[in-house]
Amino acid sequence: MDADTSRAHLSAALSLVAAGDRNALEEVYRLTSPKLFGVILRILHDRAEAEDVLQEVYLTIWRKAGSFDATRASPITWLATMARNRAIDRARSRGLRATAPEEAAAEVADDAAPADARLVVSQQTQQLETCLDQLPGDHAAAVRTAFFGGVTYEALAERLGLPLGTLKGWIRRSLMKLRLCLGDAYG
Amino acid sequence: MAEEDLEGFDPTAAELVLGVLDAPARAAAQARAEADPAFAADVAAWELRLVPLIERVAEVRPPPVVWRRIVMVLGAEPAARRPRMTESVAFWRGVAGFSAAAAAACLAVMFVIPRPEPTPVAPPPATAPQPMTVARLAGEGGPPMFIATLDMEHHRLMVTPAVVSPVPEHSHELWLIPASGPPRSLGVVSAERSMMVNAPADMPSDATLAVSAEPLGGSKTGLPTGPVVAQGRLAS
Repeated sequence: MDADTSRAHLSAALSLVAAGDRNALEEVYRLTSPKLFGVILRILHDRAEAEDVLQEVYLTIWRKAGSFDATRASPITWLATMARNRAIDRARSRGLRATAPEEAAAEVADDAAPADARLVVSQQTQQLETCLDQLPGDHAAAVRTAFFGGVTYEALAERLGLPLGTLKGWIRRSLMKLRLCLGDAYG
Repeated sequence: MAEEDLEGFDPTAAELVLGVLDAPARAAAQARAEADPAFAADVAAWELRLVPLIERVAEVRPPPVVWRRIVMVLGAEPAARRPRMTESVAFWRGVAGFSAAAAAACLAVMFVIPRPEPTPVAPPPATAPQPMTVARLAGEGGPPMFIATLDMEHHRLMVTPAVVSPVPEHSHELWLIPASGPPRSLGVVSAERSMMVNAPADMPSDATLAVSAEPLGGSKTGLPTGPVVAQGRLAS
């Protein structure tokens, strides 16, 4: 299935979920749970907690599939946004009981690594990465690490060995440049 | 950093989506998104800009138990989406009408747990089934309000709301009902999301659990003071 077809398939499944079709929910789960679990696990680093959040996300999808607007977001972006929000909320609510330092260090290297060229990604992701590539390398790496890990400015500054103000400056200026680079298509 | 460098750019929405805000700043930004449609639109635009990057995240297949728990919660919901029982004012009037004495009596009496047939949903290509210890916590004759799943390894219970809505000025408190002795509080549970509560190490795997409606934050006395709205027994 090509990207457009799988997107349409997932959108259709979500509209069936909105109508109360449980088999459609299973299809959505089958298609998307490995991606969402990967996203959640990167943020929480704890399988039991990540499983809880994943369950909550699909129960929320069951209840809120009707609010998905296929004309605006791609279905996987909509689902992943929900998963990230839940995972980051969970990470914040547990406070500073955070990741082991060596694991965190490995994450930084992982996140900052060049993207796997073999992966087929959407046009949106290609555009975003083109814009990220125009930033200073260490700034782009900080943005990626922040995004994938869902970590606070404070935690990220500590990981990167940067003063908090410096990191905030990097990220805020990066975000402003990304907005300019990506143009007005996003409202 | 010099704020003037940003030329009037307010980074808050982008920071919320990126995930760099600490707990208070995040909560404040989320509240702002609830109250301010322009800010909410800014957040939505940043979601569209940044979230596609998740395509770069490696997939990890979740264990089959997650889907089984989802099916269990869904199986507990009425198939047709009728108004939720707890959304009805009459229901809560009825609940409020319970006397404390009746509530105490409820705690002492074991009801037969209603077991609605879960709607058949084919399990995903599964590995060997793992036994699960679960209690469906329901009001008398009603659909389950909460599903409690026992995690024996970590001595904790995951409590997931099923047919229950948040009710202002009440908290739902979960109780372990021992074979003898007074109920023991396991903590306040949420009507909106799954919660983990610690289970006492000596809790039997067929323990009876109950949920009572308590003042906000839970019973102040350490014993149930409000009506029991749901109960059930753990079973494998």
